[in-house]
Amino acid sequence: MPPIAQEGNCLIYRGSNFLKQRLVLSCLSGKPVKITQIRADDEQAPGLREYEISLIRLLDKLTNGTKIELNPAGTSVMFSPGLLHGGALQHDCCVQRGIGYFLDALIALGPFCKYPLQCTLRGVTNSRDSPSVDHIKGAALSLLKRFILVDEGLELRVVRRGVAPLGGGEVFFSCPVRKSLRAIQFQEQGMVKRIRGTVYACKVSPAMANRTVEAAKGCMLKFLPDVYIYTDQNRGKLSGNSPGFGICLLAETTDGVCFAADCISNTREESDTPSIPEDLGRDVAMRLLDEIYRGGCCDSAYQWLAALYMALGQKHVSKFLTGPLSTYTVHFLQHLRDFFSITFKLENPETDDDGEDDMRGAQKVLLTCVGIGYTNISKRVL
Amino acid sequence: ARDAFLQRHSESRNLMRIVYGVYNQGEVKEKQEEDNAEDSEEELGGLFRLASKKQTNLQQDKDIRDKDERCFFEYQSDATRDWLSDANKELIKNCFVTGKWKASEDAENL
Repeated sequence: MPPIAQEGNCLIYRGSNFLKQRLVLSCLSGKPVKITQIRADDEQAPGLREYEISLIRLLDKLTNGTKIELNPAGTSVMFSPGLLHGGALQHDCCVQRGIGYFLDALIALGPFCKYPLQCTLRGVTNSRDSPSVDHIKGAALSLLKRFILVDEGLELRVVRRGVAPLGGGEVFFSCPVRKSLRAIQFQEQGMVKRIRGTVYACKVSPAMANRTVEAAKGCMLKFLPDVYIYTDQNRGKLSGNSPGFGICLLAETTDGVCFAADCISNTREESDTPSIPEDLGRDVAMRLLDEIYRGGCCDSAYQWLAALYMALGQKHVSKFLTGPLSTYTVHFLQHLRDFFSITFKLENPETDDDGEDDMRGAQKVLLTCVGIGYTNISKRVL
Repeated sequence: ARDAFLQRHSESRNLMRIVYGVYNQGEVKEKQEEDNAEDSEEELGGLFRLASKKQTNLQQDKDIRDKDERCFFEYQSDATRDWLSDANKELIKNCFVTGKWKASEDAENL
């Protein structure tokens, strides 16, 4: 959705969708953003949700001099960003959404802060609506590593797990700062060489975890012999406040690309029937295979992150191969154009003349752009 | 339907247009001419069509305006494919190291 109007520097949008994209890009570009008519048609609960307020609070903690104005009904927000500060911070994330929702924003902003980010987030570590912490650790951090080259100080640690609805989990995330990101050309996805995974069980019988492993492994072994799934059993304080179990699978390729897929058990609110571990295991395997079919040089949930880093890179040509673009990425590319006036060239890479039998999954998309040469002015030069 | 969806999303001619809308000045002109031509053919019908087009745009706009934000890849239909069936297995067999390698990187051919 294009901005409905522009007042000087300020972009005005309508509706609550893509709030995170808009706020993150606003922080990076320094352009204020105004979002109106947030759930204005919703009679039960108009305005911002609690988790969105929580995200705005987090951005406020991360930056210095941010001004936020909400109207009384909460249906309109004016956000004028300050400087990205970073440093050590703690945040209690709203349990309506997973920590992944908040962590995404931190990963996008982390490299451009003044001080290296050292952040403790508390809330729901694994949920259905956002990528889980394991997913981010595998897929997003491996992508970030490609752009910052040296990964010293880049860490994501699960201190405690916590599932919906009560949460109680905790993660620690630290991210180094960079003056600028390098432009990369990344067009080879390689072939999947190993499957790794994590199964966790919080406040349920350990047998659940083991049965999930069996089922998932059974599916994946049909494709590749190198499958190893780690079981993370937690007790007492370490397992959060709600019962649940789930699984995250990672596929690594010969060129270091990571694909990930998540699955988690139903909570009591979501459905009356409890999840069956065997179904869950099979489900996650299918999702991972879907992901492998789409392919590309990053996980489909993080195409937007690759596009962001490319756009903010040095003034060289960046090329990046992805699978079919997700709707979220399409909108992100539109937002990138609104904030940074950068347009990507999107095309299909030419296929080799080897013919049909060499097809590797879905039709790919090649993103090409010249970075805008974004430099981190706040970073100290030693 | 699912394949059509994927195809539509990854075909290069349409790709730029899907993402950035009508981006080319020439194309805009072309489109207007097209519209004009059709309009003169059947005036009433043309008017009617234009309005409905606007309506669908509005509807689309409304549909995504307040949706929950999530970054996962979403299909139109939610079901995932059964990858264990042989026909589907063929599609991704070569994505794994156990599949066929490209000629340039195959050790046997080097």
